[in-house]
Amino acid sequence: MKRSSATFVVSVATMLMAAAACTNFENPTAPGPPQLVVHSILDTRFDKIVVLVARARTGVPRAVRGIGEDDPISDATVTVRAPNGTVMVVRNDIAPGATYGPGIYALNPSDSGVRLSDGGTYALHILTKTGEEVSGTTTIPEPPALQQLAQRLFLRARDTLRLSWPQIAGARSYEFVIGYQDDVYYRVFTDTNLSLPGTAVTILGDPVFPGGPSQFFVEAVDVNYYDYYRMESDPFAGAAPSHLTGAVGVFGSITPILFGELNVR
Amino acid sequence: MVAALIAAVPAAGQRPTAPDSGKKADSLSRRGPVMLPAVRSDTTRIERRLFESKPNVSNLSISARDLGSAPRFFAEADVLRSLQLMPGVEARNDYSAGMNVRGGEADQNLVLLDGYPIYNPFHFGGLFGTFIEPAVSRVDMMTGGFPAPFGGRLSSVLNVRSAEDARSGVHGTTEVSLIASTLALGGALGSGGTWSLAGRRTYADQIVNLVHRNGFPYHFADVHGHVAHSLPWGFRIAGTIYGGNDLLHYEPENSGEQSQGIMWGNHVLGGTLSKVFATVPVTLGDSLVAEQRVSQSLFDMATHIDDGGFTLTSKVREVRAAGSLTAYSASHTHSIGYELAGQRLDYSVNYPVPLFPSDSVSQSERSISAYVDELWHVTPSLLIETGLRYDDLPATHERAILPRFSLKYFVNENFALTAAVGQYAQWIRSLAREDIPLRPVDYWVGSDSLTPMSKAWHYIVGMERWVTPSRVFRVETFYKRYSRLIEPNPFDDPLRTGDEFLPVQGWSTGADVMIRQFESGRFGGWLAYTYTLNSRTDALGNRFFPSQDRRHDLNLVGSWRFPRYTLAARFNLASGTPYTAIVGQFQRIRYIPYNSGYTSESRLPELQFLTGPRNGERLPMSQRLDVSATTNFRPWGLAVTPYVSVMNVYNAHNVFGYVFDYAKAPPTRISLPQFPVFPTFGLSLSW
Repeated sequence: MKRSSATFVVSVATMLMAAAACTNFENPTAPGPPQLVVHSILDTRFDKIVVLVARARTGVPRAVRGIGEDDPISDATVTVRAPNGTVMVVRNDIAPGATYGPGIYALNPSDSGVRLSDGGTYALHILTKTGEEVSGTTTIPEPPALQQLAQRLFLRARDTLRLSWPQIAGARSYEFVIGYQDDVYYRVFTDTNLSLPGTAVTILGDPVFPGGPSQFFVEAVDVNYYDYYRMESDPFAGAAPSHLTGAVGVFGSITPILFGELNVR
Repeated sequence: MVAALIAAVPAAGQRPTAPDSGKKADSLSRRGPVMLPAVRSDTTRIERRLFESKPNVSNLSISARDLGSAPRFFAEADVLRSLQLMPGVEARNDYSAGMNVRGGEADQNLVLLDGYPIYNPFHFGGLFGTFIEPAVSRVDMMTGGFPAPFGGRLSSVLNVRSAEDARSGVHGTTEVSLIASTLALGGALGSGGTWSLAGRRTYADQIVNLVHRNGFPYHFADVHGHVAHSLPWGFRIAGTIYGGNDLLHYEPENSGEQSQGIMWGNHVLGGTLSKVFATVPVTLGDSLVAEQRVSQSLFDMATHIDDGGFTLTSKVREVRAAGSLTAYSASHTHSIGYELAGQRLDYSVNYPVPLFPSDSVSQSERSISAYVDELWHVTPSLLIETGLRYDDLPATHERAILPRFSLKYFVNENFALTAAVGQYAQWIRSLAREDIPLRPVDYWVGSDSLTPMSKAWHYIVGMERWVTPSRVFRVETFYKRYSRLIEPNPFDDPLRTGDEFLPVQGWSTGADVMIRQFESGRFGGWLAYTYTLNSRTDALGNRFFPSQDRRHDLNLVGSWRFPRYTLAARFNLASGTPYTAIVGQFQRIRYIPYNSGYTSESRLPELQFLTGPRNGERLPMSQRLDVSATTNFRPWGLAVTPYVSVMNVYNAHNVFGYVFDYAKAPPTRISLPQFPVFPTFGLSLSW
């Protein structure tokens, strides 16, 4: 190539570089639109309905820190309609010394003559002071009697935990949860059977069966619960699937069907 | 020299020459040496010969010389990185050696080594290509409108040709760079044959180990061999072998630490037997070439994290047989051929983690393909290539008849107008998600009853003008329409079969421009500019710009050869690709069945992200200047070539993604940078 052509190419490249180098690579990020977050799981073992209502963090300064790090909403009107048509008002008691904190609405359904263990479809409705409305329904998997297994010795190096159970009407999946007291060691969704060797480890490499006493549940879960919890957090996919209208989160239900205790060595 | 670098058999459109018999060679060798005067020999460039003999629409090529003189990427001359500098070929970012060709998805490219498919031709999570530069003679790429002999992918065909060194004795090249050592040997194999063998291994792990054990427990290694030999009666046999592995293995030093291991690699073995029939029935033409090839291509990936807490495996087992008959006459080249392929494709994962497919898949694919192709010199100024390809998937009872047509009209001997139209099908696809800017590896799966063949139409119109015998100017505009594309379902349910993919359709359009100065004097290089506009429609009917929708991409590549030095530079300026902004975040609260309580504490991250419109934002434009300087001298008959290379000379801050934090007010956005300035040096010895 002639000298003039090479000079031309170099000149063009220099000009383009200079133009590109003037680009501002960082823009300030504006706060996002408000978004309600709701968590509520109906568990047939307990005479309790708890609804957690919060606002997602979208870059707006928070007044109160409560549910996780989200902004609790304590002045919403929260109702749950039972299968028999009874509408229960779930209240957020934020008085000093109250059992639950801000944004946590709770009631005992038996106070309204409702038993979760009878199953059926429940409807949640939330109306905030600013006019945001949330609705959702959950159908409790058909509750059989909870089968309690005898406590047993479990040798990690030798034993395998094998469980199976029948299909439960209304169950989308089944969750196996093992832990002790409040500490959950491992949870996994499965079909109607499970085989876990004593040497199994979690995704973080921790033992599924650490030494000492362990308790496990197998719960039949509805589609809302399953879809919301079945995948880990994914920044490219967005929030976990929600079956709520007007909010992200979950209004789901579970029915424990197996319970067992292990003495792990 | 150039002619010797072409494949073992003539390309369609080129008339074959009958190989010399061994007897003739012997009789010549018995005569005494004859001293000839020095002569200057100018061979017509292969690009020029292709311009004159074929429609050659959307065809690009890079020679070994181009590869050797381009600035290096992290000290390595990389075949796939060099292709990203050509028009129509784009990379998402510095961390990806994968390609998006004319707006197509990254899994739509058929990568061949001497005609044999290779499934994941990358190292280090896409940072480097697998091909060893001294073992490559040239790379041909078709970015659209490819003829009937090629199929199985929607966007492009890339064929990497092994080097063939016909000099007697053993010749070689060894390179020592900052990250790897390469040794390539080759030479004549008897009379009428060649052999080559090349190997490469990175050694950063060994160096870091001297200072800190297990400090960098990663390396990759390749071996690439090729042999070709003429046989009696006009037969020729050629074979290629490639093996490459990446290994990341961490052995715990302290109690409480866990072992981590990821291994992946490709293995390709292929052989081609061809025969030239110099005398054939007159109805077939002047000569005939028959070719039969068989190959096996394997890919394995095994991930073992946290003592097996997370395991992920992916496997491809492919066997392929293909054959063709090509008849040559003065104005016609007729080809017929077939391809039988079987793949065993397995992907399994023991835990549904983000960014990776969560379903385990095991499939057996079979495909039967056949084609006819006709290249016709209608008049001295009109060339037409037309063909028909038939692809059949017996397992899913799917069949496709895919027409191909291209033409070239010579306005004069240096200026031609070109056009092509064709339909393409693809049934092996990747589970990797295009929306994720990092693409460490493709997990291949096949079509089944729920995921039929994807198809695309290509329409291309262009012109090519040879300004001088070594300078060419080319412009092509294209429109591609895709139907039945699929994309991995990010919310795929591992307990349900059939929801692994979601249907997508759409189109890509644009133009690419290339001004190329082939190296004939001091300067060689090219200017390549690509404009693309892409649209996709997802399963819900929402239109979006796909993540590879880079509107403008400009590459300036040049090398200047001086008597003792070679200087090379590459400048890239590219507009930003789309991404999905995060507009908020919240904590997923877990229910505790033991006490009917709720907790925001979990062993795994529970942060959930609220996203804006899909790919509704764009990254800023990126730019990068790489330069290199090479000198050479010849002590003791060796060609010694030390070099220095600087990547991203002025340390441009290029962004490939963002991390948002909405826990803060105002929220923060941290940009994830591409490579900063990175100087490297190395040494090459040739003999």
